[in-house]
Amino acid sequence: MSHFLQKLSLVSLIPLALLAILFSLMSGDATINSQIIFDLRLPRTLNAFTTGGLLALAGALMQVLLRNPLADPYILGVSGGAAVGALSCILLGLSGINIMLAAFLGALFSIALVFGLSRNYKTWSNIRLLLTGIVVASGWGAVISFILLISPDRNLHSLLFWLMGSLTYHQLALPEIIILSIGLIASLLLAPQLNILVQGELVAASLGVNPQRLQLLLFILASLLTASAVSIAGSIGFVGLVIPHVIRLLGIRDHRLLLPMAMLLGGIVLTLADSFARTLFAPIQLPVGIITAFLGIPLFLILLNYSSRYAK
Amino acid sequence: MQNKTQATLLQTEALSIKVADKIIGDSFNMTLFPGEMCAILGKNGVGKTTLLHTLAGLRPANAGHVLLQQQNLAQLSRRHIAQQLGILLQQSQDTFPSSVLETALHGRAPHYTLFGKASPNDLAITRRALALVQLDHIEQQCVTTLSGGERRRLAIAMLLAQTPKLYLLDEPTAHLDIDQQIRLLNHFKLLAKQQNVGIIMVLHDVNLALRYCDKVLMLFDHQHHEFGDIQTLVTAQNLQALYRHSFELITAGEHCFWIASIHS
Repeated sequence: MSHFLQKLSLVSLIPLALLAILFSLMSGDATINSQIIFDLRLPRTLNAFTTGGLLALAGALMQVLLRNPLADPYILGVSGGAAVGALSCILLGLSGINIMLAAFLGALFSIALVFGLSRNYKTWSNIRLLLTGIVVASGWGAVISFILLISPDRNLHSLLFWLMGSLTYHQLALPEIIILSIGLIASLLLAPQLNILVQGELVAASLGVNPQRLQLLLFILASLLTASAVSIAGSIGFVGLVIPHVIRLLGIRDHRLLLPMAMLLGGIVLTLADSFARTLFAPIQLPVGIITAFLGIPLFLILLNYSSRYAK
Repeated sequence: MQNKTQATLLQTEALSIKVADKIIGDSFNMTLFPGEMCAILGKNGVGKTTLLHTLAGLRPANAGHVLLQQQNLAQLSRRHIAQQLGILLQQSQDTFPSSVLETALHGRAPHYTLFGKASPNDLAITRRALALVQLDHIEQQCVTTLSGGERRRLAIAMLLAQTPKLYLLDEPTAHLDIDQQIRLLNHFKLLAKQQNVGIIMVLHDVNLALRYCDKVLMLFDHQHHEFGDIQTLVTAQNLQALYRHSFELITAGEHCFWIASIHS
C-alpha cells in the first residue's frame, strides 16, 4: 500500500469513529427521550470508545516492548492485580467509583511488583520482564480463584460480570480519557524510535536510539494505559491483542500511523461491541468481552488467512 | 605514506574489555586514520565481536577509553555516535514483517529530525544503497521472504544508507557468494579511498584481509594482541599462533596466498 493510501486509511477512521459513537447512541429503545441518551448512553459510549482505544494502544506498545506478536495488554499481570483490587472491593460491599479506584490501585501495585522483580540487574532484559510478568499474572489468577471460592453466592454474579469485562458503570471516566490523550501524544512522540526498536535492541542502539530508556518508557506507558482500561471495564479480551495485528495485516508497519489507527479502531470495535452487548438480548446485558470474542475471532482468522495468501 | 599529523578517526587508550569474568583483552591501543582499512583476525570466541561492540559504544569498556574523532565515546550521545559510526552486526532479527525498502530506510534514522520523517534525499540515498547490494529490484518485497544472503545484503544496505564516517563490520562476507563478497569489499575500498571513511572488519579469510586492508589487529589467546601494518604482521609464525593451525605461503605468478597446511 502506498504511503498516501496509508494516510488516507488513518483519516477515514475518524468519521468511522464518529459513526460508531452515533450508532451506539441511537441503538436500543428508540422511544427513550434525549435526556436518557445524554445522561446514560453518552458517558457509556465514550467509556467504551476510551477503553477500546486504551487497550489497542497498550497492546501495540506491549508487542513492541516484548518484541512478541503474542503480547497483549494483560500479559504482564496488570489485569490480575486490578481484578484482585476490584473483587475485594465488591466483596466488601463497595460499589461504583470505589471499584474503579481499587482496580486502578491493584493494577499499579502489580506493575510495581513486576517492575521491581524483573529489574534485579543493571541491564534490562525483556525476556526476564516477560517471564516475571507471566508468573505474577498466574499468581493473581490463583488469588482470583480463591476469592471466587470463598465469596458468598449473592456476590458471585457481579464478580463474574466484572471478570468478563463490562461497561455497565456509566459515569463518564474523565481521568481515563485524559490518560488516553496523553498516552496517544507520548506514543506518537516515541513512534519513530519504536520503528527502529522493532529491528532489535543492538540495531536500535547502533542507529542512535537508547533502547534501555525507551523500553522503560514503553513499560510504564503501556502499563498505565492498561490499568486505566481495566479500571473502567474490567478485563476485556481480544481487543488489545488483535486490533494492532489487524492494522499490521492492512500493511501498515510505521508506528506513526499504526498507533493512532490501532487506538481509533480499538475504540470503534469496542463501541460497536458494547452497543450489541446492550441491545442484543435487551433487557439482559451481556458482558462485552463475550461480544468482542464472538465478533472478533472469526473476523481476525479470515483476515489472517487472506493476508498469508497475498503477503508472500 | 601516512600523514601522522592527520586527525585520528578512532583511537583506543589502554582499553580493557571483560565479559562476565573473562578478560577479552587488556590495554588495547589501536589507531585508525580516515581512509584506512583494518582487519580483526582471531579464533572463534576470542572476543572479536565483543571488541567491535565496545568500539561502537554498544557496551561499556571495563577500563580505558575509546576516542571517536578525538572525543570520548562514553560522553557522546547515541544519536551523535550513530551519525559518525555504523556497525554491521553478526545477525539481524525480524519479528514483525516489513518491506525491504522500509527496513533499509531505518539506516537514515540518525539523520532524521524529531518526527522521523524521511526526506526525498534520504529515500534517494537508501535506493542507491539497495542498488549497490543488488536488492533494488525487490524493494517492496517482505523481508521474511528473503534468503540468508539477501538478508545479509539488506543489513549492509541499511548500514550504507547510514553513511557513517567509520564502518565496523562483523564478518561482512558471511553468507555472501564470492561475487557478492568481492563486490562488497571493492565498494568499501572505494569508500575508503574516495570518501576517506575508516573501516574495521572482522574477517576469517587471511587472503581477503591482505588484499583489502592496511592494518590488522590480531587477537591471540591469553589476552595477547598485536596491532600494526598487515603486511608485516601476517607471518607463518603469527598465523600459527593465531589459529593453532600451520599455514603455508603459495606463490602463483606475482600473487601470494596463505593456505592452511594440508598435513598438520
